[in-house]
Amino acid sequence: MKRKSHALATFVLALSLIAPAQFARAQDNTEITIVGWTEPDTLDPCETAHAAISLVSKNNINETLIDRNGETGELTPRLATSWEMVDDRTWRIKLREGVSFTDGAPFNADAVVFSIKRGMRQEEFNCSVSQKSFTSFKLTAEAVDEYTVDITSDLPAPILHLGFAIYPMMSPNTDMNTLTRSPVGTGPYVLKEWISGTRIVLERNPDYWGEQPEISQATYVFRNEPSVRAAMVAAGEADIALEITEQDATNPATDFAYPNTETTWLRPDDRFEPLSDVRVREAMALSIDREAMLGTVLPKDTRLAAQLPGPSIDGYNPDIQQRPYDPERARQLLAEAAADGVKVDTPIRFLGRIGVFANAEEVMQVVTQMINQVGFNVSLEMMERARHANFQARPFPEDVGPNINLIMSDNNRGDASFGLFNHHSKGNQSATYTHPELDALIDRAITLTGKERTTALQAVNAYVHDHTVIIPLFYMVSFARVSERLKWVPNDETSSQLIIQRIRFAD
Amino acid sequence: MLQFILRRALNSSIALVGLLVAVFVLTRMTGDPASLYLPAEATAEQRAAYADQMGYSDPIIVQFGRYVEGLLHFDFGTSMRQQRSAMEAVMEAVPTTILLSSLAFSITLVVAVAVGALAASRPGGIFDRMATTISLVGASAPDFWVAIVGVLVFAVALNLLPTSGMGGPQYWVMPVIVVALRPTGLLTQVVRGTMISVLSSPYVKTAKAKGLGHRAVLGHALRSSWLPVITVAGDMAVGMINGSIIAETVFGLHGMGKVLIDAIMQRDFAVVQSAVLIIAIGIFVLNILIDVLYGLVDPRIRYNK
Repeated sequence: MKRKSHALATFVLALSLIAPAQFARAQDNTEITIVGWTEPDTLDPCETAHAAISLVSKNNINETLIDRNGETGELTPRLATSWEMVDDRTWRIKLREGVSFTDGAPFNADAVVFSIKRGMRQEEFNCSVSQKSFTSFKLTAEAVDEYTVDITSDLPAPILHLGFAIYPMMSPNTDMNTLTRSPVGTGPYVLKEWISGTRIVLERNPDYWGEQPEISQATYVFRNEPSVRAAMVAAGEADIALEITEQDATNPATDFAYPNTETTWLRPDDRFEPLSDVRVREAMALSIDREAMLGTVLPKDTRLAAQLPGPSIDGYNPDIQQRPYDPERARQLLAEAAADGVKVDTPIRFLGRIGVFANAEEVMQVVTQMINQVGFNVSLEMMERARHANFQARPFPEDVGPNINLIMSDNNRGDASFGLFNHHSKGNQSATYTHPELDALIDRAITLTGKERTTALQAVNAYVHDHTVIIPLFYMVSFARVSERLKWVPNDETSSQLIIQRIRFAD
Repeated sequence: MLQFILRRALNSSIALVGLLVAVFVLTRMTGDPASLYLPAEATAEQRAAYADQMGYSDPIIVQFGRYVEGLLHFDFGTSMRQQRSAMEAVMEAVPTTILLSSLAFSITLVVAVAVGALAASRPGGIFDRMATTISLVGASAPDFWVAIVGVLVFAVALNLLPTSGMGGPQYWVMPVIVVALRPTGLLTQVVRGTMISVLSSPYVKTAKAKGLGHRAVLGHALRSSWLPVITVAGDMAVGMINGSIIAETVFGLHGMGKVLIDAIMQRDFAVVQSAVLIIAIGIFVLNILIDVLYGLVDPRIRYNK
């Protein structure tokens, strides 16, 4: 017995000896640790379309020409000092002078030409951020002088400048044909080390053209499990934990909900009866009690969506009202459709993606029940991401049959046309809706600028609402835990970029 | 023995080829990786161009021919996501899995044999009842729950251990316990059951009747209990090589299981194939070791027939 006691005491002593030395994370107030949900596959600027890569790299290592404020939509200069449309296809960009890449290459018009060229070689090299920034536009860039560049599109491009707030500039020494794990940019930070599977470390760029950031070094670590991410901040091992769950966000002093610029919506596939009937689609929209889901299966901070774009997006239509929960009216509409020979009781597949957001399956089960209570015959099919992708973009499986699909798409690029293309029968991979009238409205809106554009986009949103082209559900929120030693709160931008330069220490 | 190992190697290589063909075909049946990798804004042309670059638009037989040709040159393909050698990406994770599984397996073996044997020596006694209860709890406790509770208690509340990550010995305490807990519970039950059976056999009774001491009896009985224990422990070791996915995921360990699961979810075919190859080779080596151990423990087992 005495020996056992000694063994136990030795174990406890050993733990207590290593504990204070190893786990009191007394980092000095110059360095921070950020814990993300998954390690990037690469850090190539071309892949900053992927959030995991963008969070490390965008505007930390590789900067964009323009900054866009996620909350207000305001555009401000970064590597560009000004930008203007020369004609309906060409934008002239004036560049900041005296800026260099961290490999010594100068940032000038030639560097912009290189960056655009690298992203436009889709036959030879995939550049995802080019697709995200400029969709199908084919761009060419030409140096006007050392610090002026003209960027020309093959199609009229009145909102091309919004892409410059997404597309990062890359060193002319970057390999044209392979993705790099050692990105070189002009940003306030440089990649210090990347130990695969362990950590990525950024350190301050001493030659940065702008104000030197307060944080000298940022270490990124990655944990798949949200509870562990939250625990790391609680234990003092990390300063910012991204994408924690609502259940883990229990400390009001450190845990924040923030809009993640994702909108969830139902896509009724109107190629099939009964969803081809507008009354049936409206009945479906009226049958869903969305408010009942807030604070129950969804975080209470989630907001109801009446249209795809959020309020900070150009083309958001403030006149569109929320569809009420009105099961009586839904039953009435279904009865009217049935009286006209529409087979309203046709089985409808509800295609859902596992884990598309926290509690996704619960939300979809609730929606299924609500829809069925008014007389629909909907059955939920949950599937993993890869299989669900087959149903989300063309070519759709031929035997899909009547279906509704819960889709979550981002709306943070500043212009409603990006989202509205989801409904354009030819303009987007994921459109099922085929109405020439709507196509014409979108086609007109995207050629306009200024107030005319805003009005035209609002008209498109009104059409989408009036014809129940889609059933908007929610503007989603995410949660983050932030150490009390930092003076920083997550915001609309956090889901796509985390600019370390803007983080301050509390003291 | 050498002849036996060579014969097993030949048999295993045939199975390995079958496995690689199956994995190659099955992964490609899951669809186009471009739909997962490219942003939603990518056009059909951009998706097609990407499929061409990656070689996914070729007929599957052409893709397989290219894969086999690569294998002959020890080229295991390029990770679609990481744009580097798939084998390099996989091999990075191997040391973590080997360390985690070997530590967990050692603990499992030592604890299960000691506790199981002691419990069996006095069936129905206090120690036996405690050991049985605790081992049953260990065998049935969900790994995931144990891991999360471990983090909250030992890292957050007591600050005795780190929450997760890789580093010094203290970083391995919780993952190893989580991986070892269930196998230890199961193996303890197996050792106990086998030992009780052996201890009640006539030769043990005879030995006791002749006045052989308790420790000596236990020693003899333990040796006779090894075969079933090796069989069960071997299965457990194979499971650990497969990757302790829960522990690796929760504790942020860069191991084989996590690499494989990530690659499957992302349809990173080359990484899936390389990981399966390495895991299969690991399992093959382990099975050989188990067979060799059988022969050492029970000399009556011969392999040359």
